[in-house]
Amino acid sequence: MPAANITSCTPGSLVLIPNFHFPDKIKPKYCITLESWNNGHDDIIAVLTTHNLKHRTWKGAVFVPKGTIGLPEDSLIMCHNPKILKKQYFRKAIYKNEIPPEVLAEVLKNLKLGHIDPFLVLRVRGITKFP
Amino acid sequence: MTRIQSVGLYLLAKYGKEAGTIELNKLFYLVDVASYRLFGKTVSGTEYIRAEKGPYSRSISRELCLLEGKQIRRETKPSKGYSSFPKVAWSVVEGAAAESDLAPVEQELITQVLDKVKGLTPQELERLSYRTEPMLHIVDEEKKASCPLLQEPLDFKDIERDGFMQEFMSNLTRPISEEEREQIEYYNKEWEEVELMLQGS
Repeated sequence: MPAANITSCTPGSLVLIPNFHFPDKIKPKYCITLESWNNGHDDIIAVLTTHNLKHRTWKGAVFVPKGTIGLPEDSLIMCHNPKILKKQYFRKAIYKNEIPPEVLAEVLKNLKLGHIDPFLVLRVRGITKFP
Repeated sequence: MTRIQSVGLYLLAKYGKEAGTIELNKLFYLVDVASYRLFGKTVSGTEYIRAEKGPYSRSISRELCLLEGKQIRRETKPSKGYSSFPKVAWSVVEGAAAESDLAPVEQELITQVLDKVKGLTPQELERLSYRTEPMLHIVDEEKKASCPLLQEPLDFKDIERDGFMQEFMSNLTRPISEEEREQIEYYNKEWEEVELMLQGS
């Protein structure tokens, strides 16, 4: 599962997206996407808006609490595969900040961090202790 | 180009202003400490000693001097403080950062360190360097010995490693290919465009 860019990733690719704007109550700093992504710039922005999340434009989004897979901030996993994530889980994830353990396990199983460029990891985690 | 020269060019270019020799040494040191904490190795590859004003490496000035008149500018100015020694101000010519051959992860690290120290005075940088583990350790040793341990090497093994990154790096199964590197660079540029668009809206 190689690192890839947002427009050319293939199924199973992992892309880390530093976040920009987010809802008032849920402020994940990073999004992690699974599966292929065929959209353009507008949709990258759409990932970052409350409106699109609330209207379920996206097939799936999983809230990942701070600390999971080493993330320093609350995060979202965006997922386009209905087999991995169902709509009811999506709604729950968005509105209650929760994720069913079996869903999280399924998603995290696909996150092979060893294939990610250290650059991306540094980019999203930042320097955790200074000095 | 050596590692020190590459780091020096990139660091001075991103710093955006002149840096005195002590200031430059502290910046190098803080970058190397951050790098060691995350990746278990320094970016510049230089070794530091305990000097009167904190960590210092003789190699930095020596190697950057070799680029003087090309990518590096070095000016001697009268000291503004109490020191009778003139101040040496280091800076780079425009476009020098592009000649640095650091990896993207190293460039990102330097950028993040500079963000953390933005606006600090050279004295504050010095104080910050005293809060790092190698300096804390040697200061502790000095207390035990009741004398300054000037010129003693600083041991980076005292630095507490970032547990997650340590595990992550040990699990890296293969290096990133050139093709993937290009994709990542493309993505980064694209992301910058998106941020600009969002700022504009």
